[in-house]
Formats: sequence, C-alpha cells, structure tokens
Amino acid sequence: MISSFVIPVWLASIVLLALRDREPLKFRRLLLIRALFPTWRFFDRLEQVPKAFVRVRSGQGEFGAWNALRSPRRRGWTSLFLNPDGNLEFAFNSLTELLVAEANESADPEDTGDSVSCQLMVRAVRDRLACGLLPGGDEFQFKISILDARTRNWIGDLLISPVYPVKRVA
Amino acid sequence: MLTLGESLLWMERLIALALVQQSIELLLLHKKFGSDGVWSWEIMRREFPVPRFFGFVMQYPQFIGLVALQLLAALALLVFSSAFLVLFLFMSAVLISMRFRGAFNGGSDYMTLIVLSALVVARAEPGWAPAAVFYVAVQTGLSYFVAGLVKIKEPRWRSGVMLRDFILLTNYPVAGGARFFFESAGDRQIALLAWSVILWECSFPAAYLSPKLAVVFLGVGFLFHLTNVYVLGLNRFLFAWTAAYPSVLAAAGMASA
Repeated sequence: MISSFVIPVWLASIVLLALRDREPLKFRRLLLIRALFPTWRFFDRLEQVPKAFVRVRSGQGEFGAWNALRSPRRRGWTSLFLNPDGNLEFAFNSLTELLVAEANESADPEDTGDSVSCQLMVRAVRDRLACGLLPGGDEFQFKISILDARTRNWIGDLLISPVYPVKRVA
Repeated sequence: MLTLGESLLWMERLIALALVQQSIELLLLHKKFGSDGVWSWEIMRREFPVPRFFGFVMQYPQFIGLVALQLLAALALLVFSSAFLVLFLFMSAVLISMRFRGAFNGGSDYMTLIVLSALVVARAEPGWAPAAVFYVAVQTGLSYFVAGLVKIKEPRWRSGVMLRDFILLTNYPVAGGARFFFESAGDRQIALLAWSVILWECSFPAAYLSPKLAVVFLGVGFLFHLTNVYVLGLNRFLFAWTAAYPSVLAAAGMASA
C-alpha cells in the first residue's frame, strides 16, 4: 500500500530534480547524498576556470616558481577498463571546484584554510609531491588562480594557502 | 526488442560488471583512504551528521572492506539474480559516493545508483518492475536530452568554441592525440563536431519511437562514450550508461507495441 504511493512519488521527484539548475552548496549535508538526485547538466558552464598551483622551498629559503598541480600520467588502452589515476584526477577536480565555491561564498577566501576542502587539498598536494611529480622541498604553498575562459586572461588568485610542511606532522 | 524480464536481467549483469570495474579501481587506490592518504576519514568525518556511526564503515581499513564486499557481491550478481545482492550493492554504492562527498566520479555514480535503485524496486516489488525499467529509460533519455538542451542554449556551444575550450582550458586529463586535434582543427570542424553532439543529444527522445531507432541511438551513444573514454578517460561512464541501455530497448518495445 505504502509502496504504491512512495515509489511513484520518489521516481517522479528524481526525474523533476534532474531538470533543476545546479546549486551545489546550499545545503551542505545534502551534498553527501547528491548522487541520489542527479542533474544531467554536463559541460554546461565555462566562465572562470580554477587552476591549482604549488610552490616549494627547502629550509627557510626562497620559494621556487609556481607549478601547475596536474597529473602528467599518460593513459594506455587498458584505461578503457581500469583508470584509477584518471578517475582520481576527476575527484581532485571536483575538490578544486568545491574549494573555489567555498572561497567564493566566504567573505575572506583565506578563511577557508580550516575547511574540509582545504585540508583535503593540502593532502592532495602532499600526494603529488610524494609521487615526485613536482620539485621536492620541505615546505609548500598552494594557490587557486582563476582563468577567464572567454578572454583567456588570468583574472587573479582566488586564494593563497598558508605554508605547510611537505611531510605531515602527526 | 527486449522483454521486461530480459531487460532487467541485462541491466543486472551490466551494472554488476560496472561495479566490478569501479570496485577494482577503488581497491587499487586503497592507500589514498588511509590516515595519511588524501581522502582520510579523520578530515572527512567533520562533514558527516553522525561521524561515529558512519566511521564504522568509512574509516580505514573498514572502508576497503566495504569496497571488497562490493566487489564480491558484484561478481556474485554476474552469476545469480538476487534481491539481497542488489540491495546490498545499492547501499554500498550510496556509502561509497558519500565517502567522496557525494560522488567519486559525478555522472557515472548517478547512473549507477539510478540503475541499482530501479533494480531494488523491481526485485522487491515485481509489480513495479515495468515502472522501474521505464524510470531508468526516462533518466537515460534525460541524461542526454538535458545535456543537449543546456548546450543548444549556449551560443559558445553552438559556435563550437566551448567544446574546444573544455578540452584545452579545463583541468580534465585529455589524451595527447585529442589535444592535438582540438588545437589544430579549424573552427568549422569543431563547430560540426559540437553540433553533431548537440543534435544527437537533443533528438534522443526519438529513440523511444521504435526498437530499431533505439538500437541506432544506443549504438551512437556507445561510440560517444567510447570516444569520451579515449579523449577524457571517462571509462566509468561507458560501463554505467551501457547498463542502463537495456531499459531504453525495453521502453521502445513497450511504446511501439
């Protein structure tokens, strides 16, 4: 009896929700179950492109140049079946987008340093440094810069992180 | 044309295959979920409503145990049809997507859960099986139609500029050959490519008119996802969407009967 009401309402509401616009951050807790309410707006917006950069230093010396935080790993034909690193890269992109959304919502983007997104980003940078994909050092900083997709000019830095040790302090 | 029963069986087997693939990928990344890993539960627990409850399965190494159980259940579903297995796989897929703040791989997680939720309904309440299959068919159609609609509304998509920009400007791990193509191709070639995608996506509802049309649209869809695997590495999408395709064949059969 209940199922004859609940199931069609559930199915119909999900179809209706699929047609909605994207508003990912309004209800933080709902973010965790967003996979149950799909939206199919793939590749619909491209105004400002966030790019993550990192720089490192040894000891108390000067920081080196900012390096793009990207994985240069190449894919082979086996990635048709298994592509763990590539899919991790997508998760990392989602993380960057969430961090940008949080920074845009915050009055002072630098205040996001204690947020889950920022802490995960610190871990992601450490992971890349540990893989030897970027120059080594003792401490690092990361930043998120914004590229204007229309003009292809850099708008500026959305946030620059505090300095973190390359090796995690337990 | 697929019957309802055949459609459910194919959906079950194909989503099991998708989950085998997804589970193996996560197991290969197991170090990333440890206390020193990127996706450490110590950090992520702050976003969960009852961290102690969720921590029981979300922290390391229990989370790896959950993924391993998902792999075993998916392998079993390749051989046996079972309401219990489908329900377990639905719950594990929800928990795993929550572990990644809602989704590990966006759309492929959405489609995986849509297929699994429909299978749960169909196996628990056989009377609802037609509605469940039809629901997956509608969501599959929407996944293309809504994606096409938002593209056709955007002038930069219509000119092809946005397709090129997505490949060249964003952070997606684009294949070298594809990058070369989008850098060197002329504006007309790119616009033609963009319009091909838009028209196919927008016209997808026509697939429900007859099983023959459905086969054509799904064939193009399979090639579309295969291209995305090469260009962007979106292998999970190929498996998840393929698992939903039998529902479109069944719906087209029902509609034309």
